[in-house]
Amino acid sequence: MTQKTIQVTPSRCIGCLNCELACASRDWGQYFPAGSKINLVFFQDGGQVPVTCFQCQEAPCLKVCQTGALNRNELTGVISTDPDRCVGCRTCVSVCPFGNINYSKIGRRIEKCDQCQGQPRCAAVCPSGALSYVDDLKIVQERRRAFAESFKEVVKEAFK
Amino acid sequence: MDHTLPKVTGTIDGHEFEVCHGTTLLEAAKTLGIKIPTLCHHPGLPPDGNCRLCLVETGDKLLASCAFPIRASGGVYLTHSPLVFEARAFVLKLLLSRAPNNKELLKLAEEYGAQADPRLSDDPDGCLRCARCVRACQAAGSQAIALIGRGRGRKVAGPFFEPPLDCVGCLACARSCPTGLIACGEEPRVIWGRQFDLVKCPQCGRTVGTPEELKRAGITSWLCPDCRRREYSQALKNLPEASFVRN
Repeated sequence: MTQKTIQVTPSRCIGCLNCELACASRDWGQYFPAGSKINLVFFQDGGQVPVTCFQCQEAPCLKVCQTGALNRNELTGVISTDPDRCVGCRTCVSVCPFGNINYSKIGRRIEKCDQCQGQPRCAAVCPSGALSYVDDLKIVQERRRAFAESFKEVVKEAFK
Repeated sequence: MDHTLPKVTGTIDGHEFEVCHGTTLLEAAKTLGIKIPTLCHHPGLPPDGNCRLCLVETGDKLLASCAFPIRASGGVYLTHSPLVFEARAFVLKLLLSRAPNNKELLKLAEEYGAQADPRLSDDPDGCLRCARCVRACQAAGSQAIALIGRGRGRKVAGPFFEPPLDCVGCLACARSCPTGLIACGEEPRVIWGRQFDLVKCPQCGRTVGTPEELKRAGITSWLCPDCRRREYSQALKNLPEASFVRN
């Protein structure tokens, strides 16, 4: 089985927020952007970047979770949540270097992207192709590496 | 569940099951769709067998199914026999004396025909002594609270019944309490009689957590999740076409 991955192209993003609404409507049944697991970061000087969980290979959130509320699907590499097992210590929220896990006070559970178990709604509704769900081929992996290099310094600075 | 483990079989209420070695009886019953009442069980925490409601019968013996790992095949378990019914009704009587107003408990008591015993109801503080808060604290990485004392005087508290010094104020105990009894506050952060300082995000001023909480997580950056995203998104904004891929 080929692994699949969400490909993000910030330069193509038009800021329509369709991805946030589609993501939120899955879990909450309503358009509730605050409950979304993909977030658009807007900048004052124009432009926006959609960001969601990177499904890190050495995931800090997975390391700190002692109750098994976060677990990785070995086949797809995606980390998903089991809300029944969560005790709400919020350590994973603190350790995520990218701020991509949230604790929902309303649902009393951890909110994290699990790529909709193989059918990401955000990629399906994106009108401009900024988000696409593609096969994780070698060329894609190389692009990912180049992308990681680009913000290595920023993360190093923030998390010494 | 580790699927490399050998399988064990048995029957629950006449229904055959096959689970991995070491699966608890409660989980095995769940795979069959048989509901066993329980109050202290939390799927993410190690079993403790405190509430005694999940008792099942096997060969004239009663055992707490949440804390019973199945290690041998051929076991015959009964979850709704007269013996089990009687035992659960007795346990409910004792629990009701502790927590007479607990909704879930009252529902179960109606089902099992149990009533609180006035002789035992001198101190109905509402706490079930299920120790979910204690186990949640351990799982979260602190050991601030414990069950102190024995028998009727047993209660959850910090060392010497004082505000616990090891507490980091993460509120995991209050969130995992089945009765919602643990008094706490998010802002200001108050729990177990202690008030905590709160760290504010240096960029947006949103509350991130307590300093102790962030120290336990090993975090040096005190940015809130939103500002963390903003920090690295800045570097991604002007990347050329399709250079940004994530798994």
